[in-house]
Amino acid sequence: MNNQSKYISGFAAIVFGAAVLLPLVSLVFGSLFVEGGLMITNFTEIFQQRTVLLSILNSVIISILASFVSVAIGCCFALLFTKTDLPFRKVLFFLLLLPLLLPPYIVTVAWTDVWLFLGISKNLVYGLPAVVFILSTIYVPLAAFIISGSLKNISASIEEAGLMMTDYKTLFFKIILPLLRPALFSSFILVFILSVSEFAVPAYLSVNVFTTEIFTQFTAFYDYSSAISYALILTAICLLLILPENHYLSKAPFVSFGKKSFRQLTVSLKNKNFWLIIGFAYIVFVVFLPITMLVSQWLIGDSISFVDIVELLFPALKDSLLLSVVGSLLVTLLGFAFALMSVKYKTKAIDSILLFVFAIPAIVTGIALVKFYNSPMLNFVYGTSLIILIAFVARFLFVSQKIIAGGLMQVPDSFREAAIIMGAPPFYTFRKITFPLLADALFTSFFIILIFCVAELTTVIMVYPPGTSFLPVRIFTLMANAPQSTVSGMCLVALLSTLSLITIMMGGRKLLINQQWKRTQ
Amino acid sequence: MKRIVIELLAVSLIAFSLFACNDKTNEVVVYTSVDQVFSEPVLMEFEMETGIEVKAVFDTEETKSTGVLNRLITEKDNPQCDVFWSGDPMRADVLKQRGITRAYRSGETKGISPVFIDKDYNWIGFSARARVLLVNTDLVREEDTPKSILDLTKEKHKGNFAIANPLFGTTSFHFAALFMELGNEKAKVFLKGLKKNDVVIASSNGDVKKRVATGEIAMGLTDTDDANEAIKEGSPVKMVFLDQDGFGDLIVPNTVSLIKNSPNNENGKRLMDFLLSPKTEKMLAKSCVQMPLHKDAPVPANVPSLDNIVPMAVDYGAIAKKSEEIKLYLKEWVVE
Repeated sequence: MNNQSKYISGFAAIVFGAAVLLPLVSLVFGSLFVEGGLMITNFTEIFQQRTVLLSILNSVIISILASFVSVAIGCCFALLFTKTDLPFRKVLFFLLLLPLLLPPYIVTVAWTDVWLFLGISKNLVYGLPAVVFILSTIYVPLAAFIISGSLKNISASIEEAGLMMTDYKTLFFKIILPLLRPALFSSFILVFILSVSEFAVPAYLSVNVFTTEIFTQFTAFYDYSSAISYALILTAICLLLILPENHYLSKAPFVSFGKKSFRQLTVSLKNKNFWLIIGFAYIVFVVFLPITMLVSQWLIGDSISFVDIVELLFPALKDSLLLSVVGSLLVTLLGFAFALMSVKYKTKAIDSILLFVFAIPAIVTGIALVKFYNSPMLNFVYGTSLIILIAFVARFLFVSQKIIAGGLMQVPDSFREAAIIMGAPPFYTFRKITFPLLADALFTSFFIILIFCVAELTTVIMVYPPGTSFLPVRIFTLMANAPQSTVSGMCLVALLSTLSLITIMMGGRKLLINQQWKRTQ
Repeated sequence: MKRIVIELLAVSLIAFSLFACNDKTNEVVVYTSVDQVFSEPVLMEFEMETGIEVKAVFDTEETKSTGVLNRLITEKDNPQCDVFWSGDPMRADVLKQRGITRAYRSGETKGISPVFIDKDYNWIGFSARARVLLVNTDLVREEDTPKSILDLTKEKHKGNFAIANPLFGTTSFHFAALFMELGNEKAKVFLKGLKKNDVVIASSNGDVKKRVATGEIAMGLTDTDDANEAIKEGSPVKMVFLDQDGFGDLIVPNTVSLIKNSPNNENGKRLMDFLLSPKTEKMLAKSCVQMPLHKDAPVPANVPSLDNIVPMAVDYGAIAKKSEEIKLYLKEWVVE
């Protein structure tokens, strides 16, 4: 590795360490070490409370089930939409993404309205199975996206060799599934962490989970020391799941990317109509049903007009999308630098540190940032949108680093070494060799982080500068007393604007890839 | 290499200058837990009237409206906020106990009963809501409508009513007031009765309103502004002021506090004066049927008047302290 990339990685590490890690570590140590000693009583008290233990159990059950269901269904759809010749598969895959673009709280409200409208018993609506169902519908697209990337990377020659010996079913279980295991495991972990940190969905459905306990300590008792002890237990649960497999995960691409040189085997479906009906049925009953409920509430209710809703949200929409684009770009750049450290320098501690930061609940991250940056010297950060960008880095760098590291692992060193031997300068080599091969990974990182940034509420509400307005904050602060029809209308406007942005980005990506392809030709 | 370092520094400097430009001389920063739909028009009116730019941080239902309170506590050593506009006195009192607010004796307090003013002037009450029982008229007959909050423990209402989580918001305030009124023992018996009667614990007052309005549940305790919203939406509901023949209904005033060592204290005082004026009370009465506390303030026809309600006789400062005392019990009660 050349000096330039060392300096870039070093600079990124310093920025991350000072901007994100330092505030978090100082908050954790400040809360746990009081008067020179460890506040061990916080932990012992937690494990003596039956209700708290039950809430931990609920959290773990919900997260495991939601992760399992999301990965299982996500894997099926990834196979169907990536490996087969199913008609409309690209449209279906795009539609599958929709639940991920809505705030989980809104999805929950919409689903409960659907169920109660259909006359389903309240005992079923308000309970643990409903939480698992809703979280699964939200995270199926995420798992499908990750697994699809990995599937695209399986060379046709491997599958063709297998098919000479056996049928596709056996091939799938003996060859494809083992090759997919890293992606399956990665998506399981990501969904697990996102589910275990979720507060809004279980709270609305009256299920006591561990995040409720953390939230209660912060917002009802204002006991930061206990709240942080609770949060550390949540983080430990995530790390417990991940650390034993860390060596396995760190070698696995979080999302794998196909190369133009790879041929991909497309399986011809025998019963296309059947699979098409399955795909459409899922989209209609799982994706469109809650959205239809939002649309009907908006149309039937006495809402303000669509134009008025757009006007109401426009300042927040503009700021939010702009800041999310900048945030996503920044996170992706840092993700690239950290991926370099992890993949090229084999600095494995990086993965664990980023994972630790990602697993810390959003409210703790918010409080850490407020405590650290709210000083006269750092007002230029705390009083401005810079604090939001730092919050985005803290929340999502792990995801970006994993995506890009996956891509980076697939760039053969020999390509770059050949260019250097030919006398190409390092930056020229990066621009002409590494970057084009990594473009898909960088784009995917940008795309996923953008979705996360637009929807991020918990950290943003803690740090957003006075006088500014961000879309999720705007929607949630208006919804408390706005009519349901207006709230539904606002959510639809938010959904449409995010969709438009994604469509533009996808168009841009296609254009970029086509240009590259032409140049290569 | 030098070029890269220079480029990185240049980018950092540009970013710094872009974000750091911040003129604070003619502004006031307000944090509010009052719903944005109601508070924002009032703040805009102040901005138009005085030319002082208002920078607001609003709270959300999802964070149980305590996000701003946590921010104020965390920002204590370097306050960013000048004025805290709270939906109830409890949060204002939490800040007072932590030394975050300072006294300000606004001239606009004339006409407001001392009951609604902190004895040290760390918070001052204005426009009030009341806690009411929202009743779905399709599901509950007139003769079955409870008259007292204690009626909710009767067998005939089993599983038919909801409350918001009593650890948060005005419900926590309401329950603390009940503990003050009934005494700890009787209040605990009442809470056990609620549990025995299968009370539904909703995620918020808004959630209670929604469930009653849609007929998912027959009745629920909420605030007058939520109840009014359901009535405005045309839902088959009515609001009932409870215990009018007994200890009275809980009145929940908004409060406003000045933050100690805040950057724009003088502008903060002007905003406080504006919020405490009859003009603001009139605006809030019109937008969300909040009851004016100024004795001479006009009350629109659809707004309940304090003159016609038997209020619970309470010491608001003492309720805030009681709330701290019973929180652990309530936490256990919720998950029991």
